Amino acid sequence: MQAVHVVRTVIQRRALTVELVWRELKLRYRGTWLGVLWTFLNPLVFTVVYTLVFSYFLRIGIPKFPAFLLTGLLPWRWFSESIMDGTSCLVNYATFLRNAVFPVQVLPVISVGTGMMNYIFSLPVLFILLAVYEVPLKWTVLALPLVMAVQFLLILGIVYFTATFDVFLRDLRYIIQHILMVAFYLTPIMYDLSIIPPQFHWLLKMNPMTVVIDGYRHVLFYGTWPHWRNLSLVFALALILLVVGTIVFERNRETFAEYL
Amino acid sequence: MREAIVLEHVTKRFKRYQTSGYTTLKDLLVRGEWLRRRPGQYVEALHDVSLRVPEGMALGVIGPNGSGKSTLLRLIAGIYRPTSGRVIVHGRVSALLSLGLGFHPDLSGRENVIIGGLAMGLSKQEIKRKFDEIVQFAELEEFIDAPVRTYSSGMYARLAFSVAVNVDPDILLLDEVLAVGDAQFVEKSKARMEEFKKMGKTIILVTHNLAVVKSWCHQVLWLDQGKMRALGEPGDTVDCYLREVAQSHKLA
Repeated sequence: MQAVHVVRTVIQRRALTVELVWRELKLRYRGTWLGVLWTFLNPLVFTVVYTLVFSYFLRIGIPKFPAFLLTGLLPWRWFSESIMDGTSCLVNYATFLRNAVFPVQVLPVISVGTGMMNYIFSLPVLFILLAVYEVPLKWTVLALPLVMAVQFLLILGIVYFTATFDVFLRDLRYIIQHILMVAFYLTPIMYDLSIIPPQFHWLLKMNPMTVVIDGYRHVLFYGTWPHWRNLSLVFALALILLVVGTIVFERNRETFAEYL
Repeated sequence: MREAIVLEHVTKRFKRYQTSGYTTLKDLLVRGEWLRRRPGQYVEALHDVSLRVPEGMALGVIGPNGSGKSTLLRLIAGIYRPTSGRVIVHGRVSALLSLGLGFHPDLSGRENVIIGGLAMGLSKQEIKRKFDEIVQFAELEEFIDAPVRTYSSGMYARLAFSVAVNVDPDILLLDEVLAVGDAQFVEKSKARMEEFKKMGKTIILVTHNLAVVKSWCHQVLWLDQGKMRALGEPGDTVDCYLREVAQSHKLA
């Protein structure tokens, strides 16, 4: 019931949602000289450094490592940025919430949507890099929107939770910062699952982002279809998180203004 | 006559120390705040307020600082939920509670108007239609594409007021809007509010400008420490209030 109410509100107020996503994107680079180019530069710098470390210093033998890395790194950036933004979204919009009649349910969607747009903007760089390393794009790229949709819902489900609790316990954003850092290393982004000793596989497979990143690798890098079963499981998990998350969010919604 | 706003025995309590209304992990772990939820930690901002505001009424709300005036408006706007009692509102509410409506300083006036309008529930078409009127009323034609942070406080206030009154609300909640802006804009705002009154819209005006309350409102609610002291004719109520203020001054 509450989940339905949230979904309905978001759909009804989609014009506002879209406008606020644009506002976030505009504000991010307003006043900078390179503007939206930063979207490309940040992951490129990262890729160069990690390629140096992993391909040349440590000699992990993953072929076409930069393309391999960036395929997983960009969605991870979307994931971690949206969770960080989303966790503090209510506090960031405090002036709105205190002073105006505002459909607060849209705020988590804005954080996740902004991250997704950033991901989409950075796709050209990825496609160029894939071309440079002669990774051919196959028909499987058609499944990319599906993988993205699963990721979108997964992040959104998490953010409805974290945003709610962050209002009452502001340490949460710092806790999450650390969790994200640990999770980054526990997700096969810089490495492949195959180089991990089998006894640790369960640890990585508990992580839904492993499945999602694996999905991106399949459709973009390997040119194969994703593991549908695993992806469906993550999709189901995302829906459960979303339902419970929106219920928690709605239960507390009317007290947000007092704590901000 | 139909009622626009009904409050039934509304009480609003806040936790004490609102500046740190949220807890930190340290509080939870070190001080064991989790276990302690003592009832004495509350402040009653409003106590047992019952009120019926018929459609088309201009209600003035007066009272000293901290008497619960702004809390009352926030309850009617739906920003706060009453601790007990009921708040019933019929119609679209536009509220100008603190100047700004949450304008973002780095965005232009134009972008802020669009977002403000969308937040209030207007469609993009409606905003487009009203946009020129909003800008014209605020007298900001030249500056509408400049970032709001470059505005003077008067310009800021004018834009916020202009958005609030031009979104075609049924109920208008105004908190101390006549305190800012120059004399000319105050006159213009009053004229606009007069128009509203004539159109039969409901207005609740919180102000310390007792002359306006006396001459302009249909009824006045006097709040004191969260309780209703009086509700009635503007003339008598304001005089009563003034007498008491003068008296407490003498005593002190």
